Amino acid sequence: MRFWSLLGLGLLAASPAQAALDYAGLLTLAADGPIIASYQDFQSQTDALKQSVESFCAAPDAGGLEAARTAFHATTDSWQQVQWIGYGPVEAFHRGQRVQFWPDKKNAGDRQMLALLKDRKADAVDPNRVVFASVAIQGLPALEMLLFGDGQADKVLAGGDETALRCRLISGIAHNLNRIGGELVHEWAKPDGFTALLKNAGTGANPYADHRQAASQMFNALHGQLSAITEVKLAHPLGAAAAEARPGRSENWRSKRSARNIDINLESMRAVFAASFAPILAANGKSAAADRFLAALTEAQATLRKLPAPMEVAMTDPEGWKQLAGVKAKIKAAALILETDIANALDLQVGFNALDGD
Amino acid sequence: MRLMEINRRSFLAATAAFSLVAGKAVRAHPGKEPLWLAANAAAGRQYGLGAFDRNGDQVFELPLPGRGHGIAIAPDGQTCVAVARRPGTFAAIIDLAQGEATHWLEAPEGRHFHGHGVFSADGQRFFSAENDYAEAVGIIGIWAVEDNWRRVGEMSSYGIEPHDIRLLADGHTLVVANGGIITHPESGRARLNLERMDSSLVYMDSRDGSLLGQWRLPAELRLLSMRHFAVNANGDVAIGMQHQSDDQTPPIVALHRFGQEIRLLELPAPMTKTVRNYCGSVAMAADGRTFAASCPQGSLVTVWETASGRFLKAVSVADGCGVAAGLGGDDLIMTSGRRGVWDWSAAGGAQALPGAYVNERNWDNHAIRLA
Repeated sequence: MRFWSLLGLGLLAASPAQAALDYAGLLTLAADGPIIASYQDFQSQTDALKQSVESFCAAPDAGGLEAARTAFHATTDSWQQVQWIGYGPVEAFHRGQRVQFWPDKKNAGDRQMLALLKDRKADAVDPNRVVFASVAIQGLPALEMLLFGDGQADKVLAGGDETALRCRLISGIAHNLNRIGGELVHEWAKPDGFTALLKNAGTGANPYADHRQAASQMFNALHGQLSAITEVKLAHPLGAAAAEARPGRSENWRSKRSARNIDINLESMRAVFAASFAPILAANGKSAAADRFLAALTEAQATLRKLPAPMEVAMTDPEGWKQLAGVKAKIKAAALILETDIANALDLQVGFNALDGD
Repeated sequence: MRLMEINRRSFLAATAAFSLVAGKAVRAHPGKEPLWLAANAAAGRQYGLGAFDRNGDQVFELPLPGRGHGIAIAPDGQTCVAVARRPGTFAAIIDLAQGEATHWLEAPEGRHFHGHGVFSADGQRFFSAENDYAEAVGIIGIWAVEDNWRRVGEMSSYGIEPHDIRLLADGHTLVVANGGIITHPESGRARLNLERMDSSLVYMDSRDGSLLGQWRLPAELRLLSMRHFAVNANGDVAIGMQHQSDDQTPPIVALHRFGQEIRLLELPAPMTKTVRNYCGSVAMAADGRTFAASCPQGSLVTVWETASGRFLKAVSVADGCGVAAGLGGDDLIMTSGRRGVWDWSAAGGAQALPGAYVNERNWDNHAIRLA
């Protein structure tokens, strides 16, 4: 009955009628602020990754591998900030899936990368071939497997053909990520780019009928990220109890950074919300709702940071499992504030049909 | 132009890259029980085509490379086609007994799908509503089913942006809703011609493409786009519309019958604002006596009596858009973009399907019943 009731006609008319909400302002604050900054950061991290991989492959040694791993972490940190943006330039040409094919519930990435290594297809992700490669082997998960995988990471230092094969793949992926990073910044920032589309919603050749529709998509993307965290990042590996937990289902189990991803996701959403949604809500006298949502995110982060071990380890222990279940509950609570208080205050609703045009 | 073709090639390559990871069906359709098909999204933005049974449990699910839209079922019930949402270029041919994609249609060069298609009465032809975007005219693509789904021709839709397409009970009259809005894949989903929008309801002969009749709305409603409709055995066409401006709140539901004027249906007063000028999908109950017209922007599904055009009910469904014939003759299935599926009847009200599957997916624009 929570989402469902037969309403009397009187209730249906109860839509908020107050001062006009500045959706255009919201979009401008988000796009010119944290969104473009995060994409620029992603581009520069992929640049550093590319350089790090190239110097490692020029003279492969343990120190160089460690540096490449550090660059992988920095790139992933950066990607996790923009992961919530599932639309716009990242959707075109499957850019997002190519950076991170995820969730990969059927383990396509591992299967395909192992097959490729077995067949020694060194050119599979070369710059001129990568567009024809499966999305599952050209991004961060494939790179993680090569740099961190048990029985994989050592082989990159084995020397000879083995190192040459793996270096070519690693380097191909790094170049691919860097190219996509550049495209994303360009597609957002160019004069007639996505930022301009958001700002000019409702005019000219624009996919959005008005600013409200564009704001609705942004709002839904934030909500979608909270659902993805609770269901895919947490519930899916956690299972029903510690004894049934499946650490291998965690987002980045090989590099044991799955909890760090969630922390960054929440931090990034907090930054975006505080910079764009909160001021618009405040201008309409709805600061309290905005503050409640921000506090809920902070609380979820605080619980997450108390984990005594990486979540891939913690989840198999009853105490750690319970803590992670607590994080999940806190994120759900934040999502609930978003879909009730914030949705009402912004005169928006969660759902992907409502913002269509089909 | 050159850039566009290059983009198209890399897009096709990217789609091919995606299809390399597409998985297999979970469980095949046993063949006797009714089931419902609808495009959906799972947490983490994964798109698919889902089939569920009367309990809301999963029958099968196929991953799709992008958002799906309309679904057409072959007359023998063995095959369905899931068409990409505009401006998509893929359509999956699905063997319903196996729950697997057997072919992927690719819209020809210079065309993209508008999200809907329909089979001929004998199941030998598949008709797809398409955009010829260089000429900005509507096309009905013709595919030869038995000839390995070969593209064998195309017909004019007699308008711009053919969207929904259905076959009348006579077995040869195609009804097409020309939405009337020009779009171009280079501009995404942008509306390029609002000043000259031209929406029409077309009746055409599926055998030779000849125009049988065409109806438009009154001039003052030229920003009203007819996009979706359902038909019953009597030839009643129940239409769902979208108004391309917020300046007024015109009717968004209508009825039509060949040879007559389009009858606009009024929503009860408080609802005209709530629905935000947007109807998302229309479906008839199996007996054709009632129909549902969904209004996802108002999170409600309206139910109407076909013969009289009388408003019967507004059922509240969060982001409810997909509608289909229900289990019996007079009930209707309603799906939520916020997850969950309900079966509504005048006698029993709205009953949630209990299955876990329907509550784990966000349901997209359209649903259809396979008897």
